[in-house]
Amino acid sequence: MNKFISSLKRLFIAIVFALMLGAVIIIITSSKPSNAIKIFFLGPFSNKYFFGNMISYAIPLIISGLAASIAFSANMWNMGLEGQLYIGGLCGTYFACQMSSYPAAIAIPIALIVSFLVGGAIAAVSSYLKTKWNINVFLSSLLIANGLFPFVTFFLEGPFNDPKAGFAASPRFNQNFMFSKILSPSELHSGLFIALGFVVLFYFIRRQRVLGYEIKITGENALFAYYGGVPTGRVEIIAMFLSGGLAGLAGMINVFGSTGRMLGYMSMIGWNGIPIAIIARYDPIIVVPAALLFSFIQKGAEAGALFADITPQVAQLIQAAIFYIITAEGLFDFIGIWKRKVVK
Amino acid sequence: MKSYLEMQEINKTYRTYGHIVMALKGVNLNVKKGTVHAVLGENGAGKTTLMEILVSVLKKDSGTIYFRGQKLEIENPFQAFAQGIGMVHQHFSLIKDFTVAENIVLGVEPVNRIGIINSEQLEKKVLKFFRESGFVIDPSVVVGTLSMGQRQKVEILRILYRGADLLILDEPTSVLAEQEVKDLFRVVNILKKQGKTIIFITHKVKEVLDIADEITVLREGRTVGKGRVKDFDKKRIVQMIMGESISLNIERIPPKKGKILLSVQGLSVKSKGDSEKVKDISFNLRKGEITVIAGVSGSGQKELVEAIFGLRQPSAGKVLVEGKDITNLAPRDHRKMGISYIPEDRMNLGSSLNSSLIENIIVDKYYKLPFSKRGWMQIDLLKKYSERLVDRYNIKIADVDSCVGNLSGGNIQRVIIARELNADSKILITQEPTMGLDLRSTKYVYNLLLEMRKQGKAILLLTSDMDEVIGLSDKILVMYQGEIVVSLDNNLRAISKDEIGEYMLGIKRQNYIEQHVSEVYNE
Repeated sequence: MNKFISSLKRLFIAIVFALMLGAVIIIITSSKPSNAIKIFFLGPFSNKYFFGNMISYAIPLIISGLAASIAFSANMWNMGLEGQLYIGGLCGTYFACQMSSYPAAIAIPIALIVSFLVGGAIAAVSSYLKTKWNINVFLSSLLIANGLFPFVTFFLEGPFNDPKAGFAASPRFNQNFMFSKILSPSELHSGLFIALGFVVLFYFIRRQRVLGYEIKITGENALFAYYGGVPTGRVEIIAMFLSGGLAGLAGMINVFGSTGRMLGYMSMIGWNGIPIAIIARYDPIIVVPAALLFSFIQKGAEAGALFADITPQVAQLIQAAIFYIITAEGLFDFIGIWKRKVVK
Repeated sequence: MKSYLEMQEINKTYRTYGHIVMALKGVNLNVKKGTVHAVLGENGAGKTTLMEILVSVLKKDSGTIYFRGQKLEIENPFQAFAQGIGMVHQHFSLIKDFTVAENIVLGVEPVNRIGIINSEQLEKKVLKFFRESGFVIDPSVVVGTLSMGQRQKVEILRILYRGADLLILDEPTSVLAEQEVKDLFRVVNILKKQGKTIIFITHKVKEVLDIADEITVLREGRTVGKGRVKDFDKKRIVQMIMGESISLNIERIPPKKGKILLSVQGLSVKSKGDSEKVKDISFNLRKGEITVIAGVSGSGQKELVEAIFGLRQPSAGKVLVEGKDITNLAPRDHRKMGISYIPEDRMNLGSSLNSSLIENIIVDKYYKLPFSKRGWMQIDLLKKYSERLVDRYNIKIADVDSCVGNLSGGNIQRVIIARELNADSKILITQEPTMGLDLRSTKYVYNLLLEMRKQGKAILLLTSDMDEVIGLSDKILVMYQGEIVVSLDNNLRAISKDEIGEYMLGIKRQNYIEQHVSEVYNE
């Protein structure tokens, strides 16, 4: 429990510092800083529309944050989240298109399951390679997922393209399959409940399930875990499968919730899952505020670009600053441990 | 006579995770020139902390230090060197891939105008220095190929080379075999004759009586006794260290010859470089017996036990538990067959420092009833179970949810022991279970091992500690360079330390193989 509270405290401190930095950037770049800062900070909360959009933007981020968390907990550096999300989303969308005549209650779950299985299978390859030939997961997951990227784009531009769209995008499926909106006129959709459901599920896995213990202990010291009797090879494969599966699912939920079809460009949802997981210290509950924070900054910058003279790139700057602050604190922690060892 | 070194009222506190721990409470130390001064105490008594303050690796909170009559005010270990104070740490800081000469001059390399070291001249220079100081080691040898005793000599020579007048040796004998210890004492005596002053940190009373002129005893961060060694006897010193009297005698009852539980047959292990670390080893472990494999560290013991426990693949041979072949199974299966293993490497293999005590205690049983049911960890039960073990094994920890990495070495060892002895095993494999432990913990481990022996378990103990070899064993196997060179029955006749020592250092070997191996296979 102490760890949980200290994680929250860290998050809070990081937010304060990063937002201060954001304010400084705005003051430097904006001609009317006070107005710009006001819009940046309060914009996402100014009305139902902006608020709903902010939450909506966080939905796939929560899931990809969970995806990164589960793999990192097992010390499996899954760097292929973006690719797993991309190809999982493509396969799920393909099924959704093929099942246009089926009722939503059948088509939606099948599309979600397909995206999960495809993303998971791709990620699991990396852990299999590690168990078999001791190949570095960081590299193999990154290379495999990036290698698949052009293939997905190929399908979206060729065989699985909607000619009417005029850009790399899949055809639209039966739009009855779209998740219902829950805070009109905003984009906020019922995919939120799926995301929160997974948060609860992974919270229980981490805290109370045997699998959660196996993943955690394997991540903290795999040699010790193996010596103690944990089947570490199997655990690593499961952790990677769940991670890739959640990434694929994040892609599909984004399609069902927001875009309505698969779009042929990098969404950054997968990549952003990595800093979100690290900020949350892999805790599924803290993934939620961390994802909301990323979303808030993104939407604040967008509002600022619309109603003041802020460039949307401010969002990336502030997100990067938060990431630096959090990881720098992690560094101090690390030095602390090192010191302790010396004095025994 | 004015003291050569005087440390007065030294205080030091540590802060970890908001806890404040007093490491030193007004410690005094007076050292006379040209003496060997032993600083004695249990693990965690503050010996190393005090010395690291002296050489400025650590900062003191308060107190004053006088060295050669002047107040010593230094900021870092380099300045300590400049003042003539050098320390040999418990864990050597030599670079294994460098030659002796290169290690000696490390940090103060003699370079020519364009910054290049002429290795031939360097070796000549170092050799000249070696001759002057009276110890000769070939300066062109790569350090990684030297024995621990020789490496230690290199460490000592290195600080002498830098002009050390006061030498601090931190637990110098903990890595050495019996013969090497004698050699070290010879070195210390020569240094004393040369007028050097030596501070000798140790927790072994016997060594102190052999080598020291004066002693200072620390207990829980306080000075509890000091004076000339002559004025104390062994019992009194033990009392000062422990704060109470503890008998070091190990009492044993003769074993009942039980059935064979574990049988190792012709086991060989190859390392990465294809060199054989373990060569064709065979032996049996019997119920109710302690079998000791003695040997200086690095004789292949680690590779042998890891191969037995499934952490390493043997290149040949078999391991049987009650007739069942377990050779290529994973550790989980070994544990299911009733084997427990306390490894030598307790920081990386035996425990997970960043995990909580609970997580460390249950790693071998988390998947079994009643610790988990249908995949749900029984959190409350795990907590109670861990708390019970903390109590029973007297582990000093704030609460069972905190990290094992915060504990001292001795307490981490207790965590490992608590886990491995509560696994309901028939066979216990343990390597150097008392290494670095203080007297009280050592005695405690011995009693546990003897208790298990009484309960009819089979125990395999790998150690380089002569007292353990002689005092605990029913059967002694000596391992030298990956081979078993002798098999002795400790219950048939008295075995002397010197005899074992000669086998351990490869001076002698018994032509035992045929009779021993046929015995292993026929039963």
